[in-house]
This record gives sequence, structure tokens and C-alpha cells, in this order.
Amino acid sequence: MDKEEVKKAIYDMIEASMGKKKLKPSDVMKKLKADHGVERGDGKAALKDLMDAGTLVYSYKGGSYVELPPK
Amino acid sequence: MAKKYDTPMLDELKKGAFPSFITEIEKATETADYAKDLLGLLERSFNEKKTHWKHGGIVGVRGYGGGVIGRYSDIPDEFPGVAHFHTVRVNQPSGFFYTSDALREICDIWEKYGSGLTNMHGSTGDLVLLGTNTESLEPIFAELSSRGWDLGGSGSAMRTPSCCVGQARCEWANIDTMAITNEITQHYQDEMHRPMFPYKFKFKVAGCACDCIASIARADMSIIGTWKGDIQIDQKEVANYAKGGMDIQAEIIDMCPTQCMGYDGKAISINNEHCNRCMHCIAKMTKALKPGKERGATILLGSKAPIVTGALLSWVIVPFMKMEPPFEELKDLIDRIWEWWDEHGKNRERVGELIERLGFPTFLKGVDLEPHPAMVTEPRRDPFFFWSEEDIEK
Amino acid sequence: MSDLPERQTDIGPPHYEKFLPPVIKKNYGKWAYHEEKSAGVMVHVAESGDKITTVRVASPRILATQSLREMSEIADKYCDGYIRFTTRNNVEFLVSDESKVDGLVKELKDKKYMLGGIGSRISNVVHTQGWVHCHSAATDASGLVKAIMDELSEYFTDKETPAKVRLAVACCVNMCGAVHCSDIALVGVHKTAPRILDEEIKNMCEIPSTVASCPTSAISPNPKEKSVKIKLEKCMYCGNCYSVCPAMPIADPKNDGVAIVVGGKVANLRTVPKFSKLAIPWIPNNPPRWPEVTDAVKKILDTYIAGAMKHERVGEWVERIGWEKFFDITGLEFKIQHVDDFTFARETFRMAATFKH
Repeated sequence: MDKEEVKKAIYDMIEASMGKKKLKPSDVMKKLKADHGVERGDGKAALKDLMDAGTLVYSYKGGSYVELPPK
Repeated sequence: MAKKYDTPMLDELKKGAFPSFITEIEKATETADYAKDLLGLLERSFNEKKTHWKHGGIVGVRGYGGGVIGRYSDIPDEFPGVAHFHTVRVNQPSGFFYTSDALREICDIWEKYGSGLTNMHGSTGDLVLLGTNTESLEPIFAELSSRGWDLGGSGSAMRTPSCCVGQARCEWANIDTMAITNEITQHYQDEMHRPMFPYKFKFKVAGCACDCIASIARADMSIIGTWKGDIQIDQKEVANYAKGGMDIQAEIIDMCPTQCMGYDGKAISINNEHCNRCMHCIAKMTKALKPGKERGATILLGSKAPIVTGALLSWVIVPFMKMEPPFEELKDLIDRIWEWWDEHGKNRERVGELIERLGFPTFLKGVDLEPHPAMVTEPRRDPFFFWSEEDIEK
Repeated sequence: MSDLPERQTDIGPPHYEKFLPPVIKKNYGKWAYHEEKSAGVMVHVAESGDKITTVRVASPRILATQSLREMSEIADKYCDGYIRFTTRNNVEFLVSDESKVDGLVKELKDKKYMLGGIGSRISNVVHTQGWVHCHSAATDASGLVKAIMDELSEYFTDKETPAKVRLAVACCVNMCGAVHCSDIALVGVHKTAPRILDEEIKNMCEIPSTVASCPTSAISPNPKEKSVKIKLEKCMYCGNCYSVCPAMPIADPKNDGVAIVVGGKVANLRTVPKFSKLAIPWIPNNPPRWPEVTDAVKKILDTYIAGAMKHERVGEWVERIGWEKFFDITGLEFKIQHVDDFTFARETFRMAATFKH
């Protein structure tokens, strides 16, 4: 997968998680690896892009999670 | 200054010898309005014996998963000035050294965009800017980072490492605590700003076993300076201590935990083979005794406060490691530990708790460390030990 | 906001070398010894013979920018601008020119700074945010520190104790300070279980992580309400669930209070580092001065000073005389709460027939 595809996969994953079980960044990496065979380094780089662009945000509730930005 | 609220309870705490935090909060009302409502809210808490702060939420600077702690009042209508009152954690320089210009630079930014209140410093070590609103976060970050300051850690990430004063101003520092701290901090910026761990991970670096930074109690990885070889003795200075009135037998020899010292009324002798390097004699006779010449660190792992299954102190995982820049052996060990923790750790599980759950031997195998008697105070008492495939005769 | 400078990321903190006085840079790693001149002044001497004088003052940890500016001005006048903070939140003025020390000390005293905290004394109190800024505080921290240090100030500025006495205050059992390893420490505690706000839990909380947060498995799902329930007899009021799920508030003003723990230390000197142990399980919150708490701290401190040998920390003293003797001579009541029933309980039972009557 190229970076844009990894980003899309992450975004879809987070979108699907909203309102259900929240995902930690490491959950995202493990799922990327399991579902798409994406290596951790590539997953991290894609997630960083999404965060830097504000497409996704970190949240904290007794632990750090990845979420869509609040509306 | 005209007061916005009556605060008789807080006013009581302006009296007395110790510097008053209420006086500090009052001073901050001169540069911004936040502190006025903070006083009102705090007086309310003192009356009701109850906090009026709520959890954080999604608040931070773009791209970072830490460094800002969201804080909201639970009675924002009554105290709108502190409806938002977020904390910004600024990564302190190693050793907490500043120049007056650096402090004024922080003050200028903070008076412009925040409450004017700080903690010098937070428990983890950050320079804490206490109280601002969500809109100010990006401007504060731009102002800080463009001047060479960055945010510290929060959430499930590497937390801001910190250290004692070390070799900058202490004769007992066996390692360069500030260099190690700065190197870890710079090398792992990504791990600090983009939370990727099961939970928090703290580093504290102490120059000797006095542990002025409380690393053994407050850091997931505690790096404590120590030495190999004989304690260096200056017998002339020993005599000076005796002349100065020190009861060397009672205060030094009898208090040595391993009873490896002797004093014949003139000179001190040490059976170094039995010294456990506790620092008592060196700390009490700093002019006469110095650590041995081969310096390094003991690496310990796992300490944390009692949440949730009880407090832990760090325990030895590497008895002695040389500590020279660029600290590759240390970084390699850190990487192996994080990888193992990431693979096996549950949400909100500190590395020490994970080792308790899976077993210390499992950890040692997992991160490829050789067992050593220094890692335990005694070998196991029970007969229930595991063997590997290769130990079994087929 | 278009006039904002361009932000940078991942640059880390400024390098410490920028902030070191020249005499420190020159003698870095080559210090020979130090001498305590008074409770608030010490001199470090390098192998080269160079000296640096440190003048230490107390700080309430919460500092307004005005105070930082004032300290900066003082540092400019006497210290070429060099200043540092200690891990216990003291402020240290670093004087390279010995002739300026007396002037600095005088100005600090004139300006009502509290000099001290060096040597076998009480140093500043490590503490947490409390009601000033924390959502889970069971008591205030700064207020307790102020109340205690006003009472004990002479042990900071002048009088010596048998060894260092390290005090700490944590406003809840999360203990964002070294309370669990301090000579005498206060910790905010709850006595009642969290309330369950079913309606809010539905919207705010994740059921599995809330259930998993409980160390005693007291919380289980309540599918009917899409919420959770608590087995009250299992709850030990740690508040961990509240950290994970804000719809389980645990604050209870009538029952929240302060516990006192003693005998912890982090230094390895003589004896190994120790955890603090429970001395008093609960004292009511009585702001603004918590007189019952300050009385209890003074009682423990006075008994220690009277009984300890030179260099003996609180924990070493208690271990030498025995905890049964500690309760006897302090007059503190030994209650059912003192007997451990948590993770490490068995290690604390007396498996010997030797103890003092």
C-alpha cells in the first residue's frame, strides 16, 4: 500500500470506531499490520500525516486514543 | 487591586512564614483575568471541601498527542474566567537550569496568552504553565517553539525525562545525568509527542544512590549512577573530620550497612569487596571519601505510584552499564523494552505491572537480558519453576 | 493571529549548556566537595579551587510571572542571571562571585524570601495540584503544604533534624508526587464508592474499559441500563474508574479526607529505599488550615526528633524501634485499616514471636 492508501485505511478504521470501542494508536498499528500487512514505521508515518493535517486528533481518557476531531 | 470575590478562607493562607500560593494567584490577577475567577472557584472548593475541575477531553496542539492537559470547571457559568483552564507542559532544560532572560521569555509569552501562573516545576519535571483557553494553545506553541522551547509529554507516551543536578554541581555524580536526560529526550521526541504506548513511561536519571530525583520511586526506568573499584580515601581529610568533632566510629563505621569499614583512631580502612555502594560514608565525609574510578549506572525498571495494584519501586535489570555518549547501549535496551511492552501490555498497564503479570523471567528472556544475582534480594523460595524445550532430554 | 511566528515541532527542550554559569561549565564533572554554610547557603568547591555558592529559598511551587521576574532581577544583580530550581521546587541562586553572597542574602531576606532547606532539615514539600487544578483531588495540596510549613518553618530555616526529613502531599491516591516514599506524607483519600450516573455513562464512557479499570473487580456491566454496577463491599475507593469514566464521580466532601503515611525514603544510604506506611488512615478535611493534620504531623516529627539517632531517617528509626513501639510512643491509634489486605499484604504480617509489649 502506498502512504495515501494507508492513510485512507487508518481514517476508515477510526471513522468506524467512533461511538464504539475507541482505538489506541497501537491498536491502529496492530490492525494495519493484521488487515493490510502494513509495517509499523509506515503506519506511524501515515498517522503522523493525518494528525499534522488535523484530519484526526488524539484524545485522552485514562489513556491516549485516536479520534475524529470534534464537530 | 479590587477583588472580584470575597475569599476569607484563602486570605487566611496569606499569613504565616512560608511563601503563600494565594499571594501568587493574587499577583497573577494583574496580568490576566483568569486568576480572579480562580480565586473565586478555589474559595468555593475550600468551603465545600470539593474540587470543581472536570476531566480533560480533546485538547492539544496540532499533530501532538501530548503536552497539553485539558481542564474545565464544572461551574463555568459562575466562574466563566476559568471555564477553560488548560495546562501547558513545557519541556524543562535538563537540571532545571535557566538564565533570567530565558525565564523572562517564558513570562512574556505566558502573560500574553495565559493566566500568568506557573509551576516551577511539575512532579514529572516539566515547566508547567497553569491555565489558558483552547484558542490560545496554538499561539502559545508557535511562540514557544519558534524560540526554541518544546512541549513535554502526557498521555500514553514517553513522559518528559528529568534528572538531578549531576556533574554540573555535585561531587557525587557518577554519570552525566543532564547529558543522558537531554539525549533521551531528543532521541525519542516522536515517542514523547505521539502517544503510542500502552500507558505512560517515565525516565529519571540520578547521579548516585542518594537519588535526589527520586528515580527509584517515580520512574519506569531509573538510571542511577554508581562505580566499580575502591572508594578513594584521603586520610588527611579523615583526620580533619575527627578533629572537627565527628565521631567516626559511631557515625560512619557503625552505620555502614555491610560492616566493611574500620577505623583505628587515625585512618579509615575499607574492605571494598564487601561495599554495596550505598553512599552513606561518602555523603557524610565528602572531603575524605570519593567513589571508585570506574563509573557507570545501574539500570532499574518498574516503579510507579499505587494506582492500581499497589506501589512499586524499580528493581535492578542491568547491574552496571557504562554511560558514555551517544549512549547506544542504553538506547538499544530502551528499544527492546518498549517493543516487548508494546507487544504484551494491556491498556493502562505500566511496564512494571506487566512484568509482575507475566513474570520477571519472561521479561528477561523477552528483552534478552542475562539473569544476575544482583537482580534479586534472594532466589525464589518455591519449587515451581519453568524449563524451556532445550532443557528437556528427549 | 497572522503575526504569529512559524511553529516548529520535535525540537525538544533548549540545551542545558545555554543556561550554565561559566564556572560550572569550566568545572563540569570536576567538583571536589561542598560545605553547608547555613540552612540556606552552600558552597561547592572544584578540584581547580573554583567555587560556586548556592543560596536556596523556598517556593510555593505555584509562581506568578511577577515572581519569576523578580527572581530574574535578583539573579541579574548577584548571579549574572543564573538561577535554577530543585526537584523539590526550591529556588537556587547560583553565585559565582563570592563577594556578592552577603548582598544577595540580605536582599532575599529583606524581600521576605525564606532561606533554608539545605542539610539535615525539612526541605520544600513535594506536592500536587489539589483543588487549584485537579479533577480527582480528595483534598487540597497547596493549602495543606502552606498550613504545615507555616508550623514547621523553623525546621526549614534553622533547626536541624536527625537526618533529612522529606515531606510530600498528594491530593489523591494517584500520588503525582513521591508520597509513597517520603518520611512523612499526606494523601487525600476517599471513604465512599463512586456514584453511578447511568444516563451519562451511556454517552460518556466505554463499558469494557470502565469494568477493566477496577483493580478489585468490583465493577461489572449493567446491560439493562447500558451502564455498570458496583459491588460496594469490594470497592476500596481508589477512583481509578473515575479517571477512565467521568460519569462515576467519587468526590464526597463529608467523607473525603487526609491519610498520613510515614517512613518512606528513596535514598540508598545505609538502608534500602522504603515505602511509606500508614500511620493515620483518615483525618477530615478542615480547610483552610487543617489543624488536626498539622497537629498529627508535628506529633510524629517531635517523636522522631526525640528518639532518632543522628543520620537516621524516619523509616530507619521506626524500623529500629519497631512499628508497635511507634504506635505506642506517638500515641496514634492502631486501627483495622492499618492491617493490609491488598496486593502485598502477606509480606507485612509478623511471622515471628518477637515484638515489644
